[in-house]
Amino acid sequence: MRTCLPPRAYRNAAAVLLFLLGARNALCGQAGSAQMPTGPAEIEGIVVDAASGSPLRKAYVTLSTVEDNPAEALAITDDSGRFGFANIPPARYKLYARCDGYQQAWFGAPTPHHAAGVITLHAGERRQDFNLRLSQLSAISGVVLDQDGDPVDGAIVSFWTPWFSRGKPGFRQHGSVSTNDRGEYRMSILTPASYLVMVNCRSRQTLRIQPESVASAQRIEQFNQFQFGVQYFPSAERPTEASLVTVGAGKEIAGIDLHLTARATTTLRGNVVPPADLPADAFIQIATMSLDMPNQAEFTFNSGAGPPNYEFTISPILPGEYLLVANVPAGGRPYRGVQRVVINADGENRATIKLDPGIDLAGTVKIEGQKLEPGTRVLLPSGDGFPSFQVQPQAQVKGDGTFVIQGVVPGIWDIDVQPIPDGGYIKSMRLGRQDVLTEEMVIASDTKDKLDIVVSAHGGILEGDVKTDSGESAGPVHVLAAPDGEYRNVLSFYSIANSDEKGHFKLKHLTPGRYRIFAFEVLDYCAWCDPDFLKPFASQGQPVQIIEGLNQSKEVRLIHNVGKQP
Amino acid sequence: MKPLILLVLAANLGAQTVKIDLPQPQATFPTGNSSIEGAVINEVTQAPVRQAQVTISANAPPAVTDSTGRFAFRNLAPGTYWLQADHPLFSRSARAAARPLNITLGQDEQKRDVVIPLTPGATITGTVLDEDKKPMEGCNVQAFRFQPGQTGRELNGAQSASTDTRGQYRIYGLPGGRYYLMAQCHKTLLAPHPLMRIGPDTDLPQMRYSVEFLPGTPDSTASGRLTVAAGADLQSVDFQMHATATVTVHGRLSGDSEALQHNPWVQLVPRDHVLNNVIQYTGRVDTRRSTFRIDAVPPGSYTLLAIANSNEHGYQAQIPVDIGAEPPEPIVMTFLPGASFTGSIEVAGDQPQPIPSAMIRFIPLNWPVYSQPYAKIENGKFTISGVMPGRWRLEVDNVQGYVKSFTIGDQPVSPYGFNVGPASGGAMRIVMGDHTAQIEGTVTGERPEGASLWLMVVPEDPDRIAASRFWTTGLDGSGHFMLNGVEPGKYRLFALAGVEPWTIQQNFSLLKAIADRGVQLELDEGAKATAQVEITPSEEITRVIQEQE
Repeated sequence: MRTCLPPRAYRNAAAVLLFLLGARNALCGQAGSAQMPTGPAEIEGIVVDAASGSPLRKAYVTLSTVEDNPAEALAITDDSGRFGFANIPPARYKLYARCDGYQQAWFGAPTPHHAAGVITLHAGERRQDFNLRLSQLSAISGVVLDQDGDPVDGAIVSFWTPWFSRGKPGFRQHGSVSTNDRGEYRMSILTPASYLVMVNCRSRQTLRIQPESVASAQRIEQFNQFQFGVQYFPSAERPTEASLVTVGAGKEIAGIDLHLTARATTTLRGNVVPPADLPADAFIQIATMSLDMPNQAEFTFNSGAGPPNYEFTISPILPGEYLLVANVPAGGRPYRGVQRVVINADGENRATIKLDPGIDLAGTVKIEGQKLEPGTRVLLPSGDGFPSFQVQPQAQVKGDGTFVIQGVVPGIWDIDVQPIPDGGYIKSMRLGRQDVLTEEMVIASDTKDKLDIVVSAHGGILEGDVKTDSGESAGPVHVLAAPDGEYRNVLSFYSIANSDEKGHFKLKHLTPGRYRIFAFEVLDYCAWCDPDFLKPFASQGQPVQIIEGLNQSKEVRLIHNVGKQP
Repeated sequence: MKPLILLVLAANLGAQTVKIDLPQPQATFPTGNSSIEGAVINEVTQAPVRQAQVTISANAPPAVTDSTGRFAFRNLAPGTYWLQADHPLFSRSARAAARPLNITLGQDEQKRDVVIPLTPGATITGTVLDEDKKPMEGCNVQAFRFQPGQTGRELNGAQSASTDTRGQYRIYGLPGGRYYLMAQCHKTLLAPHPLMRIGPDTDLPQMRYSVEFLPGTPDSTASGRLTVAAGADLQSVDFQMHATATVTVHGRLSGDSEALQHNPWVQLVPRDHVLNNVIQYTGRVDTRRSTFRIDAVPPGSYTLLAIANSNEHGYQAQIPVDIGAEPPEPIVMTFLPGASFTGSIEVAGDQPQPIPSAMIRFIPLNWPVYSQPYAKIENGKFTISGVMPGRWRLEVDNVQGYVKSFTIGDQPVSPYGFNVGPASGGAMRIVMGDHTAQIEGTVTGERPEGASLWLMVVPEDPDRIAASRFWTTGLDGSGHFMLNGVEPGKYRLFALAGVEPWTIQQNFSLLKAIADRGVQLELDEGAKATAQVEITPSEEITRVIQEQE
């Protein structure tokens, strides 16, 4: 019998189930007799393949508490797909199942895009109605060939879905596989979606057929070198020119073949212009990132520059558009420089990178109406994703509320304060006069402004009930609080919660202001990161003014948006 | 003829230090009207090999063969050239001795039909399944073989592959030979458990898939070998994995409290000398509480290591631990600091000169020492700290010459292998010499037509062999050789026909077996030795290697 596949001998499985149930009764003799509804609860259920309805063996079923102090229990399904949990204290729970080759499924959610249901177990309750339906994952396969039709082994094929990052369209990766010596690849753990398929052979040398070689009297500085670079299905050089491959649940799309061409590499020479205060023994690392990639995060460290001339050579490198990033920590301070460059196939390629020192960013943290918790920190996650020697600059806030974050290199930085009091929110963040709560904080080498942060312990609270068109309780759905008006693009103001089995929801930590509240049947993570996502639903959002520290109540009408997602 | 083990070693060439006398850079290179044309073929099927890269000892770019296997080098001056072909899925032919790799061209000579054979790699495919015969993804299947090493035969990984979502793996480009096959799945499974609070201190019961050797045993000593011929295609070499229950190992770090400031980490490593290459269970250290935990450890015999080091500090603790079905009592690991030495380094001579700026490094020679302490030399002085008890080799960077003498305290020791005891330390003195020796001579014996010929100087001291202190050269046009820059010491000098020196330099038992073929030399500083060397028959080397298999 194959695990997580429908059992072939179902009759035998049923016999096993009867045996197991029999054994169970023998162990817990009083379980079947009528008793007062006291003591722990007990639940049972079955995990099945969503398409065929056949039971799944060895699926992992987790029962977890909904409360903040998490507890969980784990059961594994038997040959007939059944599971059970005994001795469960009365409380509110969630239940989900996962199994290799399948998408995980939450009880109460017909698809992974639906909200998970909440199970309220009462004392002494015995329920056997937990049916979890798992959908099989999907596969994409093909071969990677070179310009001569030969297979390319060890090529990395990756899969991406469209995605919005900081309000801009981009792609998000969903895993990768490498080709074998026959150039074959197969990715079979994809959720049903439309994928960008990319093959990446960047930084790997390859050969072009050239049987004739002629000896030269002059020294040959460098032999011609070739690389494949990247390619997007079908034969596109950039993600924007590619076609997406759509795959349904449990289906395989075969024949997604990619054709690489070995291209001649060239050389980039350049120099770093260091600031006057750079210590003399600093050796600068240089990383490159191709701008033909689906996301801006894949850097290769491939050169260095040092005194006296701070010159560097990057070779071999394929022609194209790149970002060069120079980094060095020296004298206890990080330095960074970023430069865009177009590398041409012919002629001399040169680049100059200006290196800037990191600044010391001073500021204050104030918590309204409360004393600062000892150990409060201010952290700066990178907003531009460029490599740096300080991935996340941070500082401890002193007892008087001041802090100094050392070595913040010029670039875009997000801001995080930890911990925020329970129920609290960040009320304001200002760099000098700029509002960096709602706008990006861009640090320059001459930034002198202070970063002043005010935290309030009293975020807005919105409770409510989601009702269907007929006025009934909607049950578990997704509730989204979206800022309205000028702060519509401030992603940190968005807040999401699931309603419970009675359609009741509670949103905490809300930043005061104008919002629209939407209740969606289905919603993907960060769907609202697409600036156009809410446009078709705008009139269906319930307007509300969130006020600091105020607990308001609102009834929200459910939006039936199954199949209506962009 | 059977393919040889030589090929595997050749693939490791990049990692070795090979000293070859290369022609000095020059402004112009001789050219002429001679040429070499030929083809690269598959030694087993005789089919042409496409996309093989052919390199020549001339100032010419490499040729890349077309689908007929063809290559051509033109505008060559008269002279002797060597040719070499490479392809990622092939090995260089073991029968180089019988093949025209060395080619002598006359004036305007057009040499045609030069055939370079390549030995095809073998393919092994199969499926890795779990207890339910369900395919397991992401498992690593590795082909191992014995390779000669300093301590005798050592099991080394040759090629490996990962299983795909169908549990299938495909090892390719594997040189012929006899292999042990092992599958390893890095998968842990949670075991069923009742409602438990989930926090950083929760020990959730887990199962783990460990290692399986062919044919179906987790015991490395019980595994069997698979004979793989050149170009063979072995299919359905399947593995069935078994999950075992595991425990969480808890413990406390004590001893030198400084250690906690220097990136402490803990690891459980099997005591089995094969498994310790592939299995390490790394723990999580809580420096605030001085505790550690290692999750999902299957039963077995291990060494528990705790190591802390940074540039100038090293601390270590190590104890044997046997894990059974029940979690062990918390284990206390007591950190001991490494030794610290101060010393001087100078260049020997009538007026000893201090060395301005350089670096010394200690390379660990015995497992399990992970740190590589190093020290900058300033004004001829250095301090090196964090040296764990064990056996070490001294390396001096950025200084010309060789270590002439090395003393710890008053004790002269070998820089190629010296012992550091627990809680030791003290003064070191390094004296560098630069009066190297020279060997010249001629070669006698039968040299197969066209075979390459190499002179190889092998130290008598195994520690120096392990440190790759070799010198090699070829013959000049008149059959004479000259080797410069040889460190003083005891050596054996070999002449090899059709065998590339770097393929056998670390083969200790082979070097021992052919020792009598070498000319014994004891070279003093600045010595000028003359030697006549008889060619070691390549059949003798082939035979020893086949016996090692």
